[in-house]
Amino acid sequence: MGHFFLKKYSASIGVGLLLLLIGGNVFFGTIRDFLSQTSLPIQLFLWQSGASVSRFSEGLLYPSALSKETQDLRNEQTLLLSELLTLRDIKREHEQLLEAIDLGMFEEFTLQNVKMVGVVPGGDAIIIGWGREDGARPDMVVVTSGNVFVGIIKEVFAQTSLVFLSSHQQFSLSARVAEKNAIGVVQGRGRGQVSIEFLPPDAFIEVGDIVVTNETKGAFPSNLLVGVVEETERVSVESFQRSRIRSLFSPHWSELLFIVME
Amino acid sequence: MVKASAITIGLLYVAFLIQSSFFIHFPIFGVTPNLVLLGVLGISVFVSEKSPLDIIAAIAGGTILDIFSSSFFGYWIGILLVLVLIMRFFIRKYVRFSPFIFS
Repeated sequence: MGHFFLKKYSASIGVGLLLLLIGGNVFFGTIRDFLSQTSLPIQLFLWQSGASVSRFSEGLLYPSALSKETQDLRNEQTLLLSELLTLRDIKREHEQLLEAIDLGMFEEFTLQNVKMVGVVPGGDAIIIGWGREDGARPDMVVVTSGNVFVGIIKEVFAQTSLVFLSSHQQFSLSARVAEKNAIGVVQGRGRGQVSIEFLPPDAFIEVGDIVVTNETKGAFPSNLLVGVVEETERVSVESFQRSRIRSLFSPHWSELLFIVME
Repeated sequence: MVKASAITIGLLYVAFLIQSSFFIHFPIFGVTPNLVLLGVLGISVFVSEKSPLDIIAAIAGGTILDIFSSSFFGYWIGILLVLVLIMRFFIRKYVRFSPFIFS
């Protein structure tokens, strides 16, 4: 009796499932194009509503935490202002040096602003409202306004694109620990986890070190902020080092992103 | 059955849109609930043993998740179907509902 449904429906469910899997794989692109086109306005509306409700409820639910955060930010701003003054001096000296050795200007990239419309299950990829019709192509780089590396466009649909974040398991990228000038490979571990692998054994990596991009090919700017070292691991003196890093990008906070154009 | 299936598919689609674009702003301990998964499991708990609605919900929910996710087509369909069959097994073996409800 317990398997009654299986006797009655098993053949039709089995055939339907088989057809779905075959049809789904053959017409995957078309189905995705159609659904991404139809759901884009709803996703945009839901994303904006969610962001507004989230901002409102945060202030309502945690007023004391908000005032503490404001105070912390004020303190941080003062520190940053003094650092900015120092950096301006260094920049001036650097420009003078560049002029002196005639290296020319750094290559500049144009940016295209895009809106984020969704996060895929697992949280290691996001959907942006900018697709093939707008000029999106696979392997384009996505950043935030603060030069934080977001990810790389992997799949392009009619009006949306799928962006793999640095935590995606299929993600790897040449990167550098900025202060130590140690080059390694940023590798996604899934479920929001990111690590930097193959760091030289003699590099002294510390918690809090900043990891930046190190790619030089095509439209891939170097020195984009990837994350901060959270934990270091050294298996033996001879082997490469590995460090777990915390990505500086979180899909929960961001709304407006930028595509790096050639 | 066709009407119930159509409503279920529609609700799962709406659940996915809410999950991926609205609830992402309200993570609980850094995690956003998978509404499609919860919906399919909910259906498998409350639907009659003789009805194939939970299987249809698993296939439809899996298809929606597969279409929008970065994994290969069939990944979520497989996961949800296995979960529904496990739920069916456990409910049939260890749970007994009152004969006056869920007829």
